[in-house]
Amino acid sequence: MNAPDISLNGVRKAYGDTVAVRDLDLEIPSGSTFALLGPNGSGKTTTIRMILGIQEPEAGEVRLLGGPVRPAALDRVGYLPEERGLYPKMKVLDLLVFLAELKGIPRGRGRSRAREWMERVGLADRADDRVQGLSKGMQQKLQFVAAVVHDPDVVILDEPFSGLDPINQQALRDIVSDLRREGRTILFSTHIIEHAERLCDHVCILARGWAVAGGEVAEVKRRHGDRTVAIGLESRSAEGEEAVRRAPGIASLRRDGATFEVRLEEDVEPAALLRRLVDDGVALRRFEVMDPSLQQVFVERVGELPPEMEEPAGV
Amino acid sequence: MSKTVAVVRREFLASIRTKGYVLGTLFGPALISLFIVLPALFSKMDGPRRLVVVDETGRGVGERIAGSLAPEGGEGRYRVEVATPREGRADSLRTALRRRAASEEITGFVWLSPGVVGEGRGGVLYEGRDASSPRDVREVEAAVAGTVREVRLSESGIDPERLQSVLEPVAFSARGIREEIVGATPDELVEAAIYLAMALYFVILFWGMAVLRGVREEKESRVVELVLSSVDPERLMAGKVAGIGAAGLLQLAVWVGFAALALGFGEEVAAALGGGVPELPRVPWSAGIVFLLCFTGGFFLYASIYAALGAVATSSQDAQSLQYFAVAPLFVAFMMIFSVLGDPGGTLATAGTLVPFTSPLVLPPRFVLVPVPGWQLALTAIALAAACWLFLWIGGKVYKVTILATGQRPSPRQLWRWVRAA
Repeated sequence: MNAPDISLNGVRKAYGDTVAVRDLDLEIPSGSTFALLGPNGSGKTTTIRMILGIQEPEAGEVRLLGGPVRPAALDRVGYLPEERGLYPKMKVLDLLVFLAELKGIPRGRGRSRAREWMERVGLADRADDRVQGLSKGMQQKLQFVAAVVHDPDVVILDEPFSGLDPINQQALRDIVSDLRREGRTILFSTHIIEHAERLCDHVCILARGWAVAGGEVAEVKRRHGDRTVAIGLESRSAEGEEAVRRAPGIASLRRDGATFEVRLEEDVEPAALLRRLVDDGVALRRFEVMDPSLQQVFVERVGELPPEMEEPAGV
Repeated sequence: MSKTVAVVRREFLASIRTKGYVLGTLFGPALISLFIVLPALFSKMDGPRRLVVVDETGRGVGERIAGSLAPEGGEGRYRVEVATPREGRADSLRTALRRRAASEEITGFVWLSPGVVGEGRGGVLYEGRDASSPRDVREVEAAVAGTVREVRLSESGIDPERLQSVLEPVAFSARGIREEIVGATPDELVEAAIYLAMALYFVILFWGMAVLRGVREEKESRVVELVLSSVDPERLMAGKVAGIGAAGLLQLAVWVGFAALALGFGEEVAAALGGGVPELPRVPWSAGIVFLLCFTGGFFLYASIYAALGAVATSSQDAQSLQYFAVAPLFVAFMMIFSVLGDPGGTLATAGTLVPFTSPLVLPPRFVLVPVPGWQLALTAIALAAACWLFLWIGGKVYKVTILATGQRPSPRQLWRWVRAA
């Protein structure tokens, strides 16, 4: 595993009596695409703001690019906030040059980089337009460019797909793919499980300020996967079904035709169940330990799925 | 440092590239130009006053008044003809003159009764279409009274010039013990002091509110979060205050520069147009420096407060009500000026000079009225600089903890807890 570009150690942040983030440990490896997954109010944006030094943790330590959060490190980070906003009266090119300048890029270089990006996203002919004169879709594109115009090593995207039209969703996916290929570290927060599942190689699931699961996506699934078993019977016999239902250590069972999806209790190994079924003479066509979806992991770790996480946004 | 410079540049350009700024900057010079050109133009547009002096004295008083109002070869405001009524025809002459005035052939007429220089002390009557114009009546009265007095004196055997020198007013004057102020009377200085204080009050108020508006816009447009991921809030606030302040200073410099030009060349311009420049009190150059320093210090102090209030406010209406926290001390300072004008060397004036909240407004008028001891100037400068630093620092902290806050405005206690924790 690569050295972490971002690490949080025992980080805590509260607003008055409300604790937003509790004892959070997090390591975001260099070159990874990392999802902070959780429902609204789970502490994703607060975590991101602490990584960016916008807010300070009450306890614990945040390290960015090998050291504490310092201006020099922040210059190598790009940010797309959830609350989008740009200076409405500034001209497009002037705005990008200014934002690059705030990241330590000299004005001349900032101007040429801004022009390259504007060309790439189709804003080249709007350089002298005021931001408020752009369509909503164009402002969204400009907001992505603002996050990457200074060529950052780490890109942080807070709920990047929320409010985007389908064309810009695709444009953002392309940009993220390019950034991944170039080896940049990407951290994005989302409450859409499917986004995390499809775009990321690492994930941290947050709920009510706690990190309830985290690591490489495949590893997280594996860790929580040996509790789910798919059982296929040779025939739809009542005896076979009864034998499955009677087997000890089954927490829940869902039948789909001749196939059962079985959740095992905490201390029960899948092999023990297989032995029991064979001993009971059940004729099996399939016995498979399944990788659960992140949704199942979430439900297992947190309990019920909050309503805003149920509908994928169509990535 | 380069990030702060970038913020300063952005704020400066954003401030000066507005129509309001351009119009505001041109407003000062336009006002000064009007001040010089309009009176001259109006007097030209009015055309000359055509007067008839009816002289019943029989001693040539009418001719002398005509000479006084319209000297030979001059292009003054008056064209005067002298008439002498024939015996028993005074009434018909009066009727004829009234008719000429009504038909606008003449502006009016001055009637000198026979006794005005002799026995009986008859009076002088002016009838004219401009009898309600204070300037015209004053000028005509001065010419008539001066001439009649001279004739009376000479007929009494008194040399008017000798009498003039005997009656010359005693040259009593009161003046502050300062070498730079030459020729200014206390009244002129008080006038100058009021102008300075009012200018400072409005300029600090206007530009302080510009800072509050800037912070509100940044908060409302949500761009502040993006900016804060690159530059810390203290630097963002300092850059914002400095950038907007620089725009204010530039505007002030344009006004002052144009005013200086007007004082230097205004008279020539006005004379070329056939008028004159109204008298303006002259103040020493050192007062100009004190004015600029007080503007800079006062602006930074109040702008920091305005910026913090803008960050705390959660809506425009909220900002509207919160701004009174900044306006109140500024208004107290403004009201204090009237006491300072009455007793510029008194305890209140001295205290007002030393307290940073009031010194930007109290010091400049006091400085032009009385000599301010060097130690007070030094202490005022130190106190103002320290207060600016302190409020920029506190303002930065408040800015940091509140700029991203939405929903309900934090209570003062909450705010204090957040600032201490920041």
